[in-house]
Amino acid sequence: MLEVKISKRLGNFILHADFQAGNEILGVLGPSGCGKSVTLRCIAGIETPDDGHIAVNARTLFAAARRINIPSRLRKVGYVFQNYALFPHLTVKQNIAFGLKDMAKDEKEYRVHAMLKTIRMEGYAQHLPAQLSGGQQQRVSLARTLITRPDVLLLDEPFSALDNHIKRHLENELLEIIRASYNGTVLLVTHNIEEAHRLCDRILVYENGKTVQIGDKHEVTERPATAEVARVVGCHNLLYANILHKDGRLIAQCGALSLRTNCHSDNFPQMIAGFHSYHVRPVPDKATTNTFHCRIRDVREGTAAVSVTADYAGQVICAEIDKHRWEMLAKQQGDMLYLHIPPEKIFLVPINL
Amino acid sequence: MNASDINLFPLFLSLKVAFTATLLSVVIGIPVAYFLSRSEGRAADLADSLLTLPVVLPPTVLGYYLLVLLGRQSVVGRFLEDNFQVMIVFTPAGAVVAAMIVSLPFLVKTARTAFAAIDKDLIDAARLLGRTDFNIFFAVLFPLAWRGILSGTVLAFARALGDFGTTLMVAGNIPGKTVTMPIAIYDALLAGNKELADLLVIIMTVVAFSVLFILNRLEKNMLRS
Repeated sequence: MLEVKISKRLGNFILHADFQAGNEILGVLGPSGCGKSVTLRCIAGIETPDDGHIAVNARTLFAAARRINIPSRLRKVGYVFQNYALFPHLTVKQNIAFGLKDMAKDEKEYRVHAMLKTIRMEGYAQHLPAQLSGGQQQRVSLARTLITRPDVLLLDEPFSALDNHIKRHLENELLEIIRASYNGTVLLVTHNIEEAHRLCDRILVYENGKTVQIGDKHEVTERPATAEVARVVGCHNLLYANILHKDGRLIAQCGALSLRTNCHSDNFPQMIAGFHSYHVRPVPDKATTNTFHCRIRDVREGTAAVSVTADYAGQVICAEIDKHRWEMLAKQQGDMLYLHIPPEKIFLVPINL
Repeated sequence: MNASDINLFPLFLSLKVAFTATLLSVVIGIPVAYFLSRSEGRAADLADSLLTLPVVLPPTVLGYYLLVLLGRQSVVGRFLEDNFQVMIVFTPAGAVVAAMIVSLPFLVKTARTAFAAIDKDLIDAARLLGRTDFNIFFAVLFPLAWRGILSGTVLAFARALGDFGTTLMVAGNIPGKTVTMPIAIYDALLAGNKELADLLVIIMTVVAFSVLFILNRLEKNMLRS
């Protein structure tokens, strides 16, 4: 159990982090420079918050009011740095044993070997970090921390330094190692929603240095609390809307685009209506509600899906369409396309907070 | 002129002074370089500028300061004389102090750069793995910076061996006591003894070159291992 409630002035903005995490993998998401890494560094004791408190399993690490600030070396916080920070002059084995300084030799030897086995690098004990691949370095860095049995594990953008094609493979490996040998709190900082979704149970989102939403990953992606959170979780469709009431439901009137929603009540006459591009579905005709005959403006073919930018009376809609479906429909409909936006997938967020 | 006529005392004194001064520079310079590399404030820049001053100042100015600071009339000088019967000015100890002051900046500059080049994440990582700062210095910082420190040491030694002006000001020109090689050469020239001057210059050059060559080879071998 990790409790963080801190503030820290950083140049122009003030970091406000307020959240709790249990024994889970919590994804920490936000644009770069929003204070994610600083929060991690405060938990680790590398930086000191101006105010607030940090506690792990009811053990206080920092409390401004009581002038408690436990030094890093006594915090029992595991940290995997973005560039892994392996000691370049020490072998893999020496790196992994670095945190076991005062342990009896036999016990140390045993634990290091067990850890080398866990990360499947028994053959690399005598290698230097420079002789390892990025993925291997990451595993050694993780092992070096896990072997000390930390109370919290902090991962600072663990995949940002790696090539794209091995990322997915390494994500699985990392998860496996963590699940096999760790059951405390894990914070994983990332700016990639896909990565957070694949690796985490819950997601915490930052906006302008402030933690604005924490919750189940599906909840956060499907019902973001603010427009910025929506952007962070990868939403491309955010439209200004006048809110109308009809049959107890709200209608978001975005210019000529009249979107039925499943939302019941919101107190603002004007809001932002949002929906993910992968929820937008191409349909053969205008049979259902929220279906609009749009003009295709731009088509970008990805490997598995096609990104379509379409236009309905001046309102731009982005849609992510499965390639096969796209090939079928595009032939039939030419440069116009019927797009359906499911009402239950539309969320409304305030225009400004 | 016979070979036996040549007084080799200045050569041995020069080498002794240079080695002692370098040793002192290392002992004082490494901690100073480390603290400078870890602090970024104006105070650190001030300290760095002050330490680098001996490179830029004329030897006479430097020697004058040392005379004022360490002379028998000064607080420090009197304290050393009264309590330890140690005199700095016009003794070989003075030559060591002078050589150390002029060579220290070379060591500090190089070692500071070597320490500063170490990724700060490594220090944080070591702390988070439970090590004390004292321990981190010997387990992480020194092993990563020793190449720079070694180069700095070679430079400092070279500078200490070649010092003339400051040593002359502080240690004087007492034959058989404080005359180092550069001063002996100066004396020989003043006395119009060109033969001796030539010989001493050649000896100095050969010795300096050999010492530097050996040190460089050692450094290279150590770097390779």
